[in-house]
Amino acid sequence: MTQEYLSVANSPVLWLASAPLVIMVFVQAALFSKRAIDTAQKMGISGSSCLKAMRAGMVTAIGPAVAALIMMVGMMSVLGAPISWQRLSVVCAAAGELIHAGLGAQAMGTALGAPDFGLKAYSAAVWAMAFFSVAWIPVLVFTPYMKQAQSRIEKYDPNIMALITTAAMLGITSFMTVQNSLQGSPYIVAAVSAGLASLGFARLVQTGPQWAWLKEYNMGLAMIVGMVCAAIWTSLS
Amino acid sequence: MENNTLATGGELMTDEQYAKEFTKPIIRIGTLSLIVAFILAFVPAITIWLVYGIIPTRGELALIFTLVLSAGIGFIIVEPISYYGVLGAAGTYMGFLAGNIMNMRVPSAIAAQGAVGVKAGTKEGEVIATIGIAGSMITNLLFVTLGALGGAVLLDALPPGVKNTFAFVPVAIFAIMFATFFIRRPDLGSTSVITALLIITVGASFIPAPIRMLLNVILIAAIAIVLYRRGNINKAEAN
Repeated sequence: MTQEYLSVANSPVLWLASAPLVIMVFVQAALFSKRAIDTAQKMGISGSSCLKAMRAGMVTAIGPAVAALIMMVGMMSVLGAPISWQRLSVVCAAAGELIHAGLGAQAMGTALGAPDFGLKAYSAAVWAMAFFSVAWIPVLVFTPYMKQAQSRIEKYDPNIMALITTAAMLGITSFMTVQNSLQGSPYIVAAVSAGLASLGFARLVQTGPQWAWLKEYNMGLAMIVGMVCAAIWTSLS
Repeated sequence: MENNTLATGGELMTDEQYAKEFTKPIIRIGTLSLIVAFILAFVPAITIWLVYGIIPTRGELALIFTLVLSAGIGFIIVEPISYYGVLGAAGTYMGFLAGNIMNMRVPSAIAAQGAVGVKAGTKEGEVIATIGIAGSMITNLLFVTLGALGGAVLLDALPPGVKNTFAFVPVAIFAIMFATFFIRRPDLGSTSVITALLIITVGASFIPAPIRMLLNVILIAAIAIVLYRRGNINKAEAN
């Protein structure tokens, strides 16, 4: 009885219904990168540099994508593969999606994975996740104004915008590093070792052209160093 | 200052050209794609209704909407502002559509800028970041699709010890990005750790969760601008 909704949740109809948004994400990535590559070339940035940028972006995302995959399997077992595929193509954070799906179930007087979570609760969960798209409204409203403000600041003094970017980056990354490190000592070990490894790799790149290839893989490799150090620390303690 | 041009490899692009070439099309594509995505997000829910005849009642839908909105409203409003300085316009549209902003989009943007050797917060920086973020979106789509088709099988192949270490990916990434910017401004970097610690520990009792990170950003940006201004005045006096 409880598994009945899963036959709907994994049906070809739902795969079909989930596909358009996934395709939309791909189309957006293609349109933006075409525009960016055209502009870059007019600025005098070579095609090979653009390719390097694309490759660096792709490689850096592998680690986080695998991490997301692990969460995704949990989500698929509760909500089925097609809707997980759709939702994680856009928001790509299974934890947040499960919270929304759970709120949908809650509104129907049940919970995710509960024995009485049936087709109706599943439909409520799907609505709940879709409703979260309202998060795009502030993006639509604010971004053009932020861009205007940025242009005005750049006209006034171009150095200030670069300064604000650095400050925003430090403000956000310090906050998230501290917040995540407070989860326990292995997290602190992961943070410190990954950060130091990345600085070490950057230093190495400066020593000579034979290390130039490392630039693109710096983040991905430093991430692995952090994971390995944290795993060693956990097994020792 | 008026005719602020940019020289890269002998080529020039004025502010006006850049706006016409990049900024305006980006805002147009971004707005359109988000609106289309907004509609497409509801296709599965509507399909379940049309094909299987199942839909929550109007009252239940209103309740679901209220629950989802009240759980996230603070973050929903604050995040596009918090991340703008880091993502830029194109990055904002892409980041919010594809999600995972801090653990996937921004690292990829920084990696792309590092690989090409352009600075964040400049025009070239923005263009290259856009390409890097697009790259990360392709990786993500690839993995999510693979995962949907055979995720359970794939993951069973990984030993549990290896699987567990992926829990450290987010913190490692945040630390790497922090380190990258820390070496540029160690003074601001050290300050930001102290303010973050204070906000998360002491501040947590009275500062609402959605604005904690934004507060840290505003504090550091304000300190950076004050220091920069003072530096300019000192330079002017020395001259």
